[in-house]
Amino acid sequence: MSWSTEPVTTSSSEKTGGGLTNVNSTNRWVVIFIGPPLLLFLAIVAVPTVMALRLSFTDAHLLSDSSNWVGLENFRDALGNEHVRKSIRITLVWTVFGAIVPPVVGLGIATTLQNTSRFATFMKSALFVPIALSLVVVGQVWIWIYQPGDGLLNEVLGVVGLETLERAWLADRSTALWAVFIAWAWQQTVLAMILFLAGLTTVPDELVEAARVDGATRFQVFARVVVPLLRPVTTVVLSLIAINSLRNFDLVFAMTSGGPVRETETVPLLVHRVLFRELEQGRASAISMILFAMTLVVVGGLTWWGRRGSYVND
Amino acid sequence: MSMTESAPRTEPGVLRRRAGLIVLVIFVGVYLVPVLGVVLTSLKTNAEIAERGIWAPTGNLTLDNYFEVWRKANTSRYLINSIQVTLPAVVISIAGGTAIGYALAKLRPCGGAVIQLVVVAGLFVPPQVLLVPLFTIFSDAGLLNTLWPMILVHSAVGLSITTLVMRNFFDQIPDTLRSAAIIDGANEGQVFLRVMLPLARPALAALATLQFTFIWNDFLYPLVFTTGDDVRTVMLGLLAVQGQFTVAFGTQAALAVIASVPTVLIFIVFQQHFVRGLLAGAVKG
Amino acid sequence: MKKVKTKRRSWLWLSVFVALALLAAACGDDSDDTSTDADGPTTDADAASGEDDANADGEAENLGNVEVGHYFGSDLGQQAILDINSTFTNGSVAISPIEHEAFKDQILIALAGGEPPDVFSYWAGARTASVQRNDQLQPIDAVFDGADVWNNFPQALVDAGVYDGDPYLLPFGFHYVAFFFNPQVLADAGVTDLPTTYEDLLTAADQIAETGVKPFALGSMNRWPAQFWFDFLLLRTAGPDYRAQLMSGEASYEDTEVTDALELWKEMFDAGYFVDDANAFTWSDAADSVANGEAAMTLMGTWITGYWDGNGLTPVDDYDFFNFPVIDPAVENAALGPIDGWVVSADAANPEGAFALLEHYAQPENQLDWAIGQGALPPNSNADTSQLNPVMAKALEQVNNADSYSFNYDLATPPAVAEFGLDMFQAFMDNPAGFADLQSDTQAAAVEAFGN
Repeated sequence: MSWSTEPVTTSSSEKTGGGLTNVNSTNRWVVIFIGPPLLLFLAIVAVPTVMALRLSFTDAHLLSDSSNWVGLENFRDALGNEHVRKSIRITLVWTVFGAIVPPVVGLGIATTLQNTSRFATFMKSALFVPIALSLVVVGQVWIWIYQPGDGLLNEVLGVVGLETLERAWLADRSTALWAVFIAWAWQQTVLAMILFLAGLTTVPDELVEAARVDGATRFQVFARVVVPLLRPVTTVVLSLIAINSLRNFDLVFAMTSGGPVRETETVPLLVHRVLFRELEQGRASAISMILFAMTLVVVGGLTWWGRRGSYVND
Repeated sequence: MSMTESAPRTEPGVLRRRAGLIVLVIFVGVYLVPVLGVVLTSLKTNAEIAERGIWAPTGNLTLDNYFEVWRKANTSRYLINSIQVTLPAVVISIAGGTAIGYALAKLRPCGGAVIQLVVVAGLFVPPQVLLVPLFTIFSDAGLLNTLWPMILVHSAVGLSITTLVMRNFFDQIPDTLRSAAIIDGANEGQVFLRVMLPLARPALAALATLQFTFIWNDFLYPLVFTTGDDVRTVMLGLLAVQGQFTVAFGTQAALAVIASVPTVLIFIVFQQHFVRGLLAGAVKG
Repeated sequence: MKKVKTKRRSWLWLSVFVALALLAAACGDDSDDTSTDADGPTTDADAASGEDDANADGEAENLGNVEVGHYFGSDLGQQAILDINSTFTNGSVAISPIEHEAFKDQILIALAGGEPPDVFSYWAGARTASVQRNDQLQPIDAVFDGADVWNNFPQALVDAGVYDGDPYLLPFGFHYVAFFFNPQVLADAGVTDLPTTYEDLLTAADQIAETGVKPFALGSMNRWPAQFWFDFLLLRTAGPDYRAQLMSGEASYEDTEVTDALELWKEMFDAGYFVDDANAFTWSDAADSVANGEAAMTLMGTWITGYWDGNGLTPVDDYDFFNFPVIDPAVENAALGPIDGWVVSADAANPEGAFALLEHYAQPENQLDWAIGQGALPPNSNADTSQLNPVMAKALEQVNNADSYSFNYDLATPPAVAEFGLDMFQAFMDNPAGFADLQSDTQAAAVEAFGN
């Protein structure tokens, strides 16, 4: 994300600051402030990450006592395995569409809502509710919407005369993934909308007015003035949603557990399966490392894109 | 948000407002119908749901499902567990992140850049990476099937975002505040507690909202680190109840509502903080 | 286990140290060294404090508390367990039921985490074999000797409890898979004689379909309910010996035997005999649709009777069953079903209590109570089977008359292979058209899984 590197540069450029009291006493306070939480972080996050990397080169098994170093075999196996490749594909497709649908819809709604009345302000607070819901609850709601018999979606299709489209959305191999994706996009759109609404308040009215006076159409103003100004927020939205897409587990687990026939088995679900059903710690680690790499590439790319236009912000 | 209210309106402007209203109504429909549908389902008897379907807007409302899920499932235990995980983890992650963020921003230790890089990089580590080794670590420590793994993991994982936000926050506080207090004879601890923390209240509220929502709603870690019913958090309990009362949709809905009330309430009260928390790292101000 | 744990932990703390040392080096300042020193002991203490628990043994007379985990879901079954436990005098029983599907993963997680219950229910056959082979169970000679399971249980059931020559699983109830039907629906369709041949079955299905009712209910959301179709179509055409070869990896999923069985299945599917969207429903949804007359029958195990009894249905009047019909008269009449049993974990905190409890579970009166509550057949030959309801009594008779008894698919083949086979059945229910591809995919996966 654009956050990670920026403050670092600040800190190194101001290295000399803060030296008001004697250095030893300050260092003691640094240890007091940073020591305990950093140790917690190292023990629970940093070291396990390194351990996972190490495990990914072994054939460790949860029920077995010993493990052997197998080098890159787990990675070769994983990338050569049809099921793993399919999971990676599912996750990538999910991430790409996740980076398109919720942000676009969210921005559209945010723009529409921006100038509406007090009634809208009240409605907007109501609209925030889905983002407070757990994905398990979201999953339950949508399971009922997709229910084959009396589900809301099928009932609505029946009412508008599209009975032929009625189906068991979550059980049908051709629709299951998209059905879960829409449930997810339903919630992430609210996230995007909230952030864009906040971002829109930072767009100076004078700029918009000036562009209008110069004869730009509303759409031109939106495309050439507002959207570029929203770039920092857009980076945040895309990064958050990309990270959420890549580690998406809860919703799929609650709705389909990866089925039917692994049709919705995202990489996190695959890791869960390999670890807790097949108990193969080594392979599970390797696949989780692939997921980590995917995250770094996607977020790194987004950050690069965000910083390219960061003159707007600075 | 409604600052353009007073601007003189032209005809197309009114039309546009109408269009906005229509979009809004559709949007509200798409969002409120499912949410209210669940609330309504929780108030209908299971017999009625079986007969007329989940989404039928029927009358005869009752609280029976709530009593049923309270009596027959371990609901109070689930809620207590969730509280016992969420509150400590929220406090620890925010306290830790605030301490690190403050030290990095104002005491500027050498190696601070490395520390920040390591801690903030945690944002990009998928939970699945941590699960594999943590399962073994907690198993070795005899902590599986207790609430400790969730408390520890959320406290530690949360440090990434809290450190980032608080570091950015304290960067904006002028150094002179600290030096003035120190000249008055305060030590670093006193400066932090008496001067800096009160200033940080809005940022802390933002993080508290964010962290509470994340941790309360989390489902992955309790799923993996617990097996017994007595250590289930409410989200895990919800899934267990879905398996236990397979066709009792009203009962499931009741627990879903109970499980969602804390976050929804906190959200309605602190929603502006939540937004600020999410934006804090990137868009300053 | 111990050795590796120490190794892993030392590795962990070593890494912490290295990480801190790196940070300190970046500083070139000794203040950070004090931080490593100051924090080191705290973390060691943390790790050590979690180390030593367990090992709290009970007294001799009262064997203390026994933790029991099980997957039995029906209301009557749960009540039966509580009743049986209430007469256990050698200690107390703490019972935690886990939902059937969740149990399959959760028990493995508990075993891997070293936190399993003392005793848990498990399925005899390949599943038990796979955990036993990983040293997760302990032999229960004490139980087999104490309750004389060796002589009180039929040989086939004793065999189902013995792995690598030692007893590991106490059979608690066995099941019989058949067509469970709604008598009213069959009567309405004019099906008076229950089908005994495959032609009879198809004729009956046609008659039922004409009345607008689906002949076969199936809820394969959790995959396994579909396996019984494959099991029986294969058993009745290729026979139990061929099936055993397929289950052990000696035959191929691309053999004509398998193709023929799937072809029969597909014909029934194409004829519209199956309910729509089978993959959207669970086995109990399918049971409900038979009970309320939306479908005529479902191929399911005897536990369905326990489920129906719990919903207030009356045996014979509201439900009954018939044996899966003969397809090839030259092929022997094989019965099929799972055996539920109890095992004791290797890491059990209270093995003595566990053995005593299992001995209690082996008693004929308890096996009978369980059979009646759950809708199972009691393994102990001394159980008074005259108390079974007429449908269950008939099921027992069928099993006794059968030439052989086989485990259903996911208990007959190793779990790693079953994963793929079950996927195949679910994919088949989604779209049976291209089942040749499914066969080759499954064969490829099976070869790999057997190879490991």
